[in-house]
Amino acid sequence: MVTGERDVTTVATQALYMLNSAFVIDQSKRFATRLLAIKSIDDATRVDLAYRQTVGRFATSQERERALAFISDYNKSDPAAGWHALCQATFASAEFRYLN
Amino acid sequence: MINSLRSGLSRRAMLKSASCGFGYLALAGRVSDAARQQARAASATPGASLGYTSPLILKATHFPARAKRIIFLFMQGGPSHLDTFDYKPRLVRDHGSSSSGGGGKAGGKLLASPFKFKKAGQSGIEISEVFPHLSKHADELCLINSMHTSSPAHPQATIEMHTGTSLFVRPSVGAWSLYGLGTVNQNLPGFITINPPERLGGPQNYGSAFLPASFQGTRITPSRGVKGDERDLLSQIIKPAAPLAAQRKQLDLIQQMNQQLLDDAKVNAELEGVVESYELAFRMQDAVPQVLDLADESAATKEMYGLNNGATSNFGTQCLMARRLAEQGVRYIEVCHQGWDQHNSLKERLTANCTAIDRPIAALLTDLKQRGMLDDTLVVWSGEFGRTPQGQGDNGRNHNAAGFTSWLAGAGTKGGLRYGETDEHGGKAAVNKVHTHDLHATMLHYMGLDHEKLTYNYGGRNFRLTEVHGHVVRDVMA
Repeated sequence: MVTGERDVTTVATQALYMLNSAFVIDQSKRFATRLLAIKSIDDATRVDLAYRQTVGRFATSQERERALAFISDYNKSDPAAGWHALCQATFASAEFRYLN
Repeated sequence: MINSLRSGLSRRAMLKSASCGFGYLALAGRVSDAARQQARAASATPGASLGYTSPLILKATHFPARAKRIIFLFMQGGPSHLDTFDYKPRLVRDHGSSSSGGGGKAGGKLLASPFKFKKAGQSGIEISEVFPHLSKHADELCLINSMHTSSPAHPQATIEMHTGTSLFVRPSVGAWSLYGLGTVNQNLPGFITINPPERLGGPQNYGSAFLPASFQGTRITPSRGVKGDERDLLSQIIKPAAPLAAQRKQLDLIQQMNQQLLDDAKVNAELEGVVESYELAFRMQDAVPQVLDLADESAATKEMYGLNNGATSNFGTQCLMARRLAEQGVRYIEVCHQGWDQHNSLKERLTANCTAIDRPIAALLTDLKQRGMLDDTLVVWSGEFGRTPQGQGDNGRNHNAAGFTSWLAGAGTKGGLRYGETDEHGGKAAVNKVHTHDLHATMLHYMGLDHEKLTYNYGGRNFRLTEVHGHVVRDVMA
């Protein structure tokens, strides 16, 4: 049987799925809710935990600052929405989507 | 994949040295089609020295193309050529007598068509009375009466009609077309299939197999409503989940993450592909719903396509969408009508089917013509096979791979022509036979592609749509 390595496998519908599908949104919300339910840690540690649980490493200090800035900017009246959007962005990132 | 680095100067490296960087360009939406074409034209081996190049950019044809796009009208089930486009006077005369010819069982009794054929157009080619509207376009149609294919079973023949073979998983005709030509509108998929069969190969019929995934068809199912069909993935994910400004913020974050990974990897074509796919996705959210929204079509157009009539509204909607997609630069559009498997109730069910497609297809041809698009659009009508001249009971016909009719229109097709012949009763292709492979070779030829040169190296050898077969049927072209 002929087997081979696939060439470029990135299509826009995959990106749309990560951005808009009910499944990814639901999973992102659950992830965000789970992170926010841990009351004993601060937001910086929470970002670290998100990175640990998605891409298997700690966030760099730059990533941590960027994430916190994103959350406060995304929806000023609803930090949970920012956390949800952050979690979804993490799922949508190439680092999460592809094995290295 | 992230570690599979490509040698040479990547576009990213080049752009970086020009101070801005690819990420900035992508985010700013400044990677224009023209720029990509220029970059491609400047390179002897397109894309090779640039790292990532979108596989969908326009590519040069092998020779000047007759057709810029193809609309493939697929009639799933095996429409009877003997009751539609292949007029056989002997079948009428010999009705009821035994015949061993054709694809049917030996000794089966010949069944005359329950329909009358009428000479149509200036050319006077005979078309069944079940197509009163389409008959008016007789002088634009080239009926290929001598089609034949490899298998008289629905799944195998359907897959063969779409991919060239049912023996292995192979790229579909649409995927090969995109691979060969790229697409002109980078905001839309280049290959769209409307209402394809869910079985009989399913996604294989619009898949890309070993070709890059960018060439696979995107499925939409408007017959169940453009919005809200839970099985129609595109209709769900094309709708932005958040207000665009908020989504843009989120997308910027995603792209920053990807950019960072790209910085670490230094050169990576696939990662640049990911970055670009998000930008295309963001643009598609605007472009796709717009092109599928028929609200701005005139009442006259809607009436012409039969949108106000229950019998024709489904297929009419699909044909109108096909025209809109064609107008927007979609390269390969398939529209499927299912249920042509008349083992029984031939007269009644064939009448219903033909009524459902007659007016919409006639409208599509009229509409393309009045917009000046029939000159560079190839319209192909075909089932996966035909049916036997012998009856199955007194009002049905069995499968027949040995003879059937497909027709072509537009893009410089010789109209008003019956090309090739079946035998006297219409059972087997006999004169100027055209196999499915030949049809595929011809379709690629219309698009300016040589089916013997359009190859893809996979698993150690070059593959083509027509394998080692296929002859271009030049006599159907003016």
